[in-house]
Amino acid sequence: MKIKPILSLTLLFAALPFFGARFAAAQADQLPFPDVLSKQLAARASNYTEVTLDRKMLDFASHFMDNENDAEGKRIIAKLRGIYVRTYEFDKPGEYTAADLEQIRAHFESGDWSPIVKSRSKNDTDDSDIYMKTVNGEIQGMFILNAEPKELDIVYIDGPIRPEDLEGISGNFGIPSNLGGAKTIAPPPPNPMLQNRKAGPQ
Amino acid sequence: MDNRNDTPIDDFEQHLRDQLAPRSAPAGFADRVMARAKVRVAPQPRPRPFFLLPLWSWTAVAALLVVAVFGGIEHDRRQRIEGERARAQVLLALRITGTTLHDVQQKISTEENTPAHSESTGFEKR
Repeated sequence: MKIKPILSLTLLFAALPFFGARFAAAQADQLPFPDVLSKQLAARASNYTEVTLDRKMLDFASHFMDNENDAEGKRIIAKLRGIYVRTYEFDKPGEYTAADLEQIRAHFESGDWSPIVKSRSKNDTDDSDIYMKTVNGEIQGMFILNAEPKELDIVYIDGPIRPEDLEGISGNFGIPSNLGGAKTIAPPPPNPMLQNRKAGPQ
Repeated sequence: MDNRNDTPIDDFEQHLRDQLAPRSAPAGFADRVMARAKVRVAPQPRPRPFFLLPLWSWTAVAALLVVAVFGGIEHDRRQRIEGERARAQVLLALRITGTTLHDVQQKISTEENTPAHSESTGFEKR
C-alpha cells in the first residue's frame, strides 16, 4: 500500500494555506515604492515622519474616532485600504536627486495609474505630481509627490478617494480651509483602448 | 419387600425427589444476605452545599475574580491607549495629505499666473 506518497500529498495540501497566508501577508506589507529609498531619505533627513496605516489599523482607529470632529475623517477612511505618508525635511538642498524622484514615480507610470498633475522646475527641486489609479472607471488610489529644495512629501492612498473627499475635511486636523481647489482636479480621461475593447469586434 | 422389580428409571426418579425436596435455610443465611444487600445499596453521601465549601476554596475564587476584573480593566486601558494612538496617526496622515495637496495646488496656481514650465492634465481653474 502506498502510504508515503499519500501522506506527503496530505501534508503538502495542509501546509498550503499557511504558506498562502504568509505570501498574502508579505504582499500586503509591501509598500508601493521601494522601502530602501525611504530608509535612504530618512538617513539624510534632519527630520522625517512616516505613517503607515493598512486596512487593519484604519479599522482599529475608526473605533476610537467617536468625536464629532472626527466624523468626516472617519467617513473617508472607512472605504480606504491603506494610507502611507512620508515627509522628509533636510538641512540643505540637494539631499535628494532627480533620480530618486524618478525612481519613486516609476511605480506609477504604468498600469492603472494616470498622471493628473505634473509640475517640473528647472533644477528638479520644486516638482509636484499627482497620480490617480482608475479601475473600471472608479478612482481606487491617489499618489501625491511634492518636492521642494529642503522638503519632500510623499502621500499614497490606496482605495476609493477623491480630491473632494479631502475638501470635506479642510479646516479640520490642521488642514488649510481653502482646499476648495481640490474639487477642480478632474479624473483622468477614459482609456480609449478599453472603450474599443468593450465595443467588441465589428 | 422384593426390589427385584425396581427399574433404573425409578431409582433416578427417587434420586431427583431426594435432591429437590425442600430444605430449610442454614442458620444465619437471611442475616448474611441482608447484610450484603445493605452494603451494595448503601446511600451516597450528599454533596456539601456550596456555601459550606472550605475557606481556601473561597479564597481561590476571590483571587481569581480580582485577577479577572483588574486584568480586564488593564486590557481596556491599554486598548484605549493604542486606539488613541492609532487615531492620532490617522489624523496626522489626513493632515499631511491635505497640506501636501494644498501645497501642490498653490504651486500650480502660482505657475499658472506666471510663465512656467508646468505641465498638467485635467486640472481646471476654479
